This record gives sequence, C-alpha cells and structure tokens, in this order.
Amino acid sequence: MKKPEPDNIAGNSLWKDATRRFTANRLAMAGLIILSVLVILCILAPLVAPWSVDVQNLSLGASAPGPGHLLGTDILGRDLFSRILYGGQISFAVGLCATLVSVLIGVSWGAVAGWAGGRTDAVMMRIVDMAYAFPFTIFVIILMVFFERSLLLLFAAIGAVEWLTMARIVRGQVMSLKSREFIDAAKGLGLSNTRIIIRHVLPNIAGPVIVYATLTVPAVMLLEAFLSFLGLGVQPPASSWGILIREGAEAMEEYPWLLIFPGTVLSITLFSLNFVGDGLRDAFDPRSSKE
Amino acid sequence: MITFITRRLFFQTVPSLFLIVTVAFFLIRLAPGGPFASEKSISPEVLKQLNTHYGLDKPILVQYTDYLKNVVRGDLGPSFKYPGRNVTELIAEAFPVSLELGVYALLFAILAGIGAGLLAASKPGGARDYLSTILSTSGICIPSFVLGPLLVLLFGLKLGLVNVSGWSSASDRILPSLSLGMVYVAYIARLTRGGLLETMVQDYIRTARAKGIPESTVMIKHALRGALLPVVSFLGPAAAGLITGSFVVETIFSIPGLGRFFVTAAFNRDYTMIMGTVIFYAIVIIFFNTLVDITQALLDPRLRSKLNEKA
Amino acid sequence: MVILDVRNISTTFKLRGTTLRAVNDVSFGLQKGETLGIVGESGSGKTVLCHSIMQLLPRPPADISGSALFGLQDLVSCSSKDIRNIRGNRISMVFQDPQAAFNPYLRICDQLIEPLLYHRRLSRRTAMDKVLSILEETGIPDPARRCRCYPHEFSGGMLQRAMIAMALITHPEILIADEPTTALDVTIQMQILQLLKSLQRQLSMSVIFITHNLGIVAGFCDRVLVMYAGQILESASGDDLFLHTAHPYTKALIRSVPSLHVNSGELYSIEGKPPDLTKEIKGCPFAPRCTYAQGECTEEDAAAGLVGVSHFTSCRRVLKGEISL
Repeated sequence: MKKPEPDNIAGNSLWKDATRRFTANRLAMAGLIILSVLVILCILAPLVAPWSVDVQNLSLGASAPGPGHLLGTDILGRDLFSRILYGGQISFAVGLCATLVSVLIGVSWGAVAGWAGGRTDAVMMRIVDMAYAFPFTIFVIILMVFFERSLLLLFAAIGAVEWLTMARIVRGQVMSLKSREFIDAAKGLGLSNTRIIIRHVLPNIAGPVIVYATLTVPAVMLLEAFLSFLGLGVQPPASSWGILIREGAEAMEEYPWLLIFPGTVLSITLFSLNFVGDGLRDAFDPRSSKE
Repeated sequence: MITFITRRLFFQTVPSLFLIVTVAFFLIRLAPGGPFASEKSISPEVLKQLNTHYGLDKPILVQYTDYLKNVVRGDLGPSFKYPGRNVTELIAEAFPVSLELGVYALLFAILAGIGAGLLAASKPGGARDYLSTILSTSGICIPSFVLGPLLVLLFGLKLGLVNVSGWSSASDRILPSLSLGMVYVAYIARLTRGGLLETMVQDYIRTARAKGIPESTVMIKHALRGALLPVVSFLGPAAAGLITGSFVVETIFSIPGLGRFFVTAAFNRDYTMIMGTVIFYAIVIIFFNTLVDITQALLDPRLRSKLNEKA
Repeated sequence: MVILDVRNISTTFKLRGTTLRAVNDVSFGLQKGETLGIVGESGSGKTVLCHSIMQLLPRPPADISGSALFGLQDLVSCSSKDIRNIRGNRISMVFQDPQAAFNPYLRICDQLIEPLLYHRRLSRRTAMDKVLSILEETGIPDPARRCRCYPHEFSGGMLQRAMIAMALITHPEILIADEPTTALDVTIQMQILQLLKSLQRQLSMSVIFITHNLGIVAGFCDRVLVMYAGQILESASGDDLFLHTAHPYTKALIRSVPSLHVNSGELYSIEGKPPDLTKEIKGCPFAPRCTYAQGECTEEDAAAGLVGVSHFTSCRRVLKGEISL
C-alpha cells in the first residue's frame, strides 16, 4: 500500500471537501449547469446562431416567435435569438474582463492594507468605507460620457466600481495570515516582504478571492447592462443584453417579446451566477453561510 | 451626542465632500473637448466667446479654486444647457421628486424585506424560508430596468390600471417605487433573516420563552431589535444604490427627478449641472449616513454608552 | 405534599446520525416549600432535565419521554399554549449568566414587566408599581431610577438580583434556579443565596437549585439529587448526603470541594472523564472512574434502592452492604 504524500494531503482535502459540498448543493449545481449552457451557446454563437446579426429582413419587421425565428425578430427584421447569443458574447466578455480589473484592484488594495497594518491600513480601509456609501456609478457615467467610449474604458470603469468588497475580504484574510507561523518562518529565512506576499500569502487567499470574484461577475454584468440601457455602455453596431433590453423597452407596447426574452436571459444568468457564487462561498466556508 | 456629530462633521464629512468634489471636477474638466464641443453649428469665434463667458479659458487650477469659492457661497453656477437658469434652482425643483420616489422605494423595501426575513426565519429550512429566499433573490437578479418595463407592460399597457409614465397622479408613484425598491427587498430580507437566526439562539430569547411570552412577541419584540442592526448599517450603501437606480427608473417612467436631470446633463455635457448634482448627491449621502449612524446608536444602548464615553 | 411529580424523564438528541442520551430515566418528586438541589458536573444532564420539563428544548432534535405532573397537567406533553401559561407564572426560571440572559436592547423595567402583562393582565401603571416593589425586595437600591437602566449598566450581582425579581414577580409556586451564582464573585454568591432563601420563605415557594458546587448545597438545600451521565446516582436529605453518603461518586465530589481547614496539600480531583453519552452505557455509569468498582458494576443492570428514609442510591455495592463510605 502506498504511503500518502504528506505535502499534498492538506491541500487536496480542502479542495476535495469544497468540491463535495458544492456538488451537494442543488441550487448551485443547477446554476452551474444553466450558466455553462448559456456561456457555451454564446461562445459558439457563430456556429449556433441561425442568422447573422447583420441580416435584416425589413419586409418582415418585428414579428413574434415563429418558424425560422425561435424568439422572433426586431423592428429591422433581425433574428432575436441570434442577437441575444451575440449580445451575450459581449455581456459575458465585459463581465469577465471588468471582474478581472476589479479583482486586481481589490486584491492589491486589500493585500497592501492588510500587510502594512497600522496607519496605512486605517487610512486605506477608511477610504473603502467612504467609497461604499458613495454611488461610484456617477463617476462611471461621467467617464463614459466625456471620454471616448471604448470597450477598454468600459472594462476599467466598471471594474473600478466593484472592487470594494474584494478589498475588504482580502485585507481580512491577509491580516489573519500575517500572524501565522509559516510567515514568521519565511521571514526567518530572510525572504523579502514582496516575495512572502506573492509566494505564501496570495495562494492562501485563493479560495475567498474565487468566491467573491464569482459574486462580482453578476454585479458587473448588471452594471454594464445598466450603462448600455442608458446608452453609455457598449456602442452600436456592437450589441449587448443591455442594449437589447433598451430597444425592447422602447418597443414593448407592440412587441413585448423584444423586452421579455432578453430580460429573462439576463435575469436567468444573474440568478445562476448568484447561486454558483453562494454555493462556492458555502463550499469553502460553511460557517460563513447564514444557515 | 452633539460633540459626536460635530467631530464627525470635521473629520469625515468635510474631507469626504472635498474629495468627491475634487475628483468630479478634474474628471470632467480633463475630458477632451468642452461643453460646446458637440455643437456642430457653432463657429469658432462664438465658441471662443462662450468659453470666455463661462471662464473655460482660464488655467484649470484657477477654474478649480474659483469654483470652490462659489460652492462655499452656495452658488453652483449657471446651467450650460438651460441659459438663464441656475443650477441650484434646477436642483431645487427636481430633487423633491426624487426624494419622494426614494422614500417610497425605501419604505417598500424595508417593510417587504423585514416581513420576508421574519417569515423565512420563523421556520428556517422550511417551505416558507425557501420561497421567501427565492422571491427575494429575484429582486436582486431582475434589474430595475427590466422589472420596470415589465411592470409597465403588465399593469400599464395590458391591464390599463395605471399610467405608463409621468408623476402627476397618486397611482403614478406605485410602479416606479416598486421597480426601484425591489432590489433592496432582497438584501434586507437576507440581512433580517440572518440577523434573526443569530439572535434567536441567544440566551435572552430563552429567558423570554421561560417567562411564558407568546412566540410571535418573542420574535418581534425581543429578537427583531438585535437583528435589525445589520439592516440599518446596510441603509447607507442602499441610499447610494437608490440614487443610481433613480437614473434608470426616472428615465423609464419619465419622472422629472434629479436622476433624469443628471443623465440628461451628462449627455449634454452640462458641466455646471453635472458638478452641482454630484455635490448635492454627496451632501445627501453624507447626511444620510450620519442619520444611519445615529439610528444605530439609538437602537443599541451599548453603542450609545460607548459613544457618550468617547464624546 | 408533592407539587411536581417527575417520572421517567429521558431526553435524547439526534445529531448527525448519532443519538445522545442526555437524561436517562430520571424520576423525583418536589415537595411544597422544599429546596431541592440537583448537583452534578457539566454534562451530567441537570440543566437538560429542567429544560425538558419546561419544554424549552426544540423538538426535534430533542426527544423527550416520561412525564412531569404539576397539578393535573403533564408539563412534558401539554400543549404549547398550556406550557406558556405556566412558564413565568406558576413556574419561573433564573439562569446562570445574567448579562446574557437579559435582552441588551430593552430596559430592565420593560423586561420585568412582561410576566405581569401577559399572565396577570394588569395595567401598565399597576404593573410598574409591582416591579418597583419587587426590585426593592430583592435588595436593589434606588429602584425607580435603576429600572430604567439597561442590563449592561448593572453589575453582575445586581443584575442577578434583577433576574430573581423578574422570576418572582408573579409569585410562582416553583422557582428553578440554574446555577444562579456560578457567574458571580464569591462574596456576592452568599448574598444571592441568602436572598433566595428569605424570598422562598416569604412566598412559601419550592425551589429547584441546580449547581455543580456541593459546597453551596450544604447549607441551602433540604434535599439533594446527585446526577451523573444523565442518571440520578443518589438522592438524600442535605444532612444524610454528607453524614451518611451512600454513593462513591458523592463521596468523591465531597472530597473535591476545597476546604480552608484541612492542610491536605494537593487538591483532590476525580480521575478520568465522564462517559461518552452517544454510546450505550451498561451498568453503573461511574464505574470506570470508581475506586470501589468491581466486575458486577458494569456487567449487570443499574441498581436502585433505599439505604434509609428517603435516601436513595444506585450503588449496587452500597446496597448490598459490601462497602461503607
């Protein structure tokens, strides 16, 4: 019988435990499945979508769901199902990239604050406290209005709104890790602070970071849809779910499906993301659950 | 208590305000083009005149200090897009509308949220709990700009019960308030439920039961008070969210509130209007947060003692 | 006259697949005007026993069998409405940690007034008068000002007096005091005990006094039940318990009470640990730690018998006269 390798045991069992708890959580699993289906469909849009988004069938105009058009068409005769799939590409892309931005900012901020401690920490976290109560979205709107509206700017701006919770979580984790023995050991070996942070601290905060990153994605996607709804986010000819919802809201009196379908898809995505995020959080730390 | 408020004013309020104003100012002024850049029909000479008239040709730091001086005096400047009208005037007209909307939305969120949380916590893990959680999660996952139009579609267009837009009759208040407040129902329900679950296992609940008090009284009179503290803390960020939400809700329902003004001002690059609104919002937020802190102290007598000690 | 007749109470908890037997077939009777002490280490089941009788345990996961007759009603199986009428009214409880047992967000007067409002239907004003008078009786100075304070503004001893006041405000027939002095300073402990004794006489009340401290029991209780691992090992009058001890566990407990008189050098403590209550216990639960134990103690079922008037023991060897303590 092979002897178990001592190094891996602790690491393995944490992830294994988490996976087991997650898979047992029905809501989370359902969310994961739905999410995966949606993401895959959107990624494969060029293959899956029955129509290209440029195809306009003006004579058809807006029509209800029917043969050839699973979810109907919009005013210019474009297939709604295809538009939703292609729009999803942008929405998910923004979701991912903006979340990345927010994770970068949040982790750096929290790690620095937690590691430095004392005055620096107090100041940095005070800024976070103040920021929590202020609608950052105002600044984002200003940014999007006054500066050239590029997708890149959108990623950065949205990411800059949602980093606060991540910073708090990371700071908390770093602070508690800071006082653990293996950090003292590393210091005893003469490793520089930066090295310690990167090699020893960061891997240990991977868990919570993943959880909150997952929970940030729906917030970010919501913000993108919000901005696009106001006309400040993604710009035509590109389209996202926010734009589709806006068009749907404008035309809903006569063509309600133009609002209902994109709205439903967005909501289902947000639901799934939230359930997956909650599931991850419970999986990594069941004590943190409200149960 | 007075000392507490005064100290807050100096160490938190004023610096925060200052920070926000500065960031907003430089953000706007540093953007390419000026407020009139998008007007294609203006000749360069007229453009130059306008810039001089509004002081836009001065060095930026001078503009900044001039602006600050004016703000302290309460003068938020003239509107760029509505000639002859003052920003302060416009805000004074539009804000009461948004305030009303916000208050209704918040009241709805608090009442529905606490109710849902109470229901869920009364039998944790049971059907009521599950249902309540799903319903309130819907609040978070169906954005106001989806819910709003859907509600309008159902109640306004199909059933014809209410007007589709506007802010004139009493029934006009209903749909916008619901759309705006729905998100917060979810958060408040979650917080209430969590708070209740924590409180219900405390010793003093057992004492209350040992006194023979009916269970409903135990939950509402004894458990709820402790459980509400996280809800009150949440109200600070909630106010920020309500402001953000108002941009979209007022647009959808054509409500003449400050949110819609802000969005329009942003699109029109109405510098002074934007700055004025930002400052105003900042003051509102700060005021609201102070109120929240005071409420927390009122709810928890232990906090009160600590505050009195510090003061 | 027996006012509380407890018969065969067994309480088990179902937790994650295992069953924990916290109380195992306990019976006793409480006389009118009597002070009954229930003594045992933590985990002996004394608190669970009283919570079971008062229906303060959530069921599930708790499962309670047996009966506790109070007058014509069985407290264990009566409806929640009935038990609520009795709680705080005819049977009151005092708990261990007064700071935790009071609601930190409500004033003392608001909490003291509740039993009167719910059980006596008095007007607020009349009830407040009663609150003030009971606060005085429990020795709280300046009651009018004090009662408008919050729990955190009271000292431990003062707050425990307030809790006693709250329990006695409806003149209950039985007071269950669960370790009321454990969280307090030693000097305050005596004061509280004296207060309880005098109030008991005044109100001709019966008291069930739960404690792990045998020292307190000596001067205070008429009768004592000694519990261990959810079972009653010995029950006797206060005097008999100390002078004619009939169970090795009781003897060991008496030895472990530190005394200022004897220069014994090391403090005595009982070796070993209490048994695992999730496992079935055969025979006497104390046997593994008992210096007098022999094979029969664990091989045969638990014994039960009298060694004197109202003096019960479960020690097989004492009953057979094989050992004298």
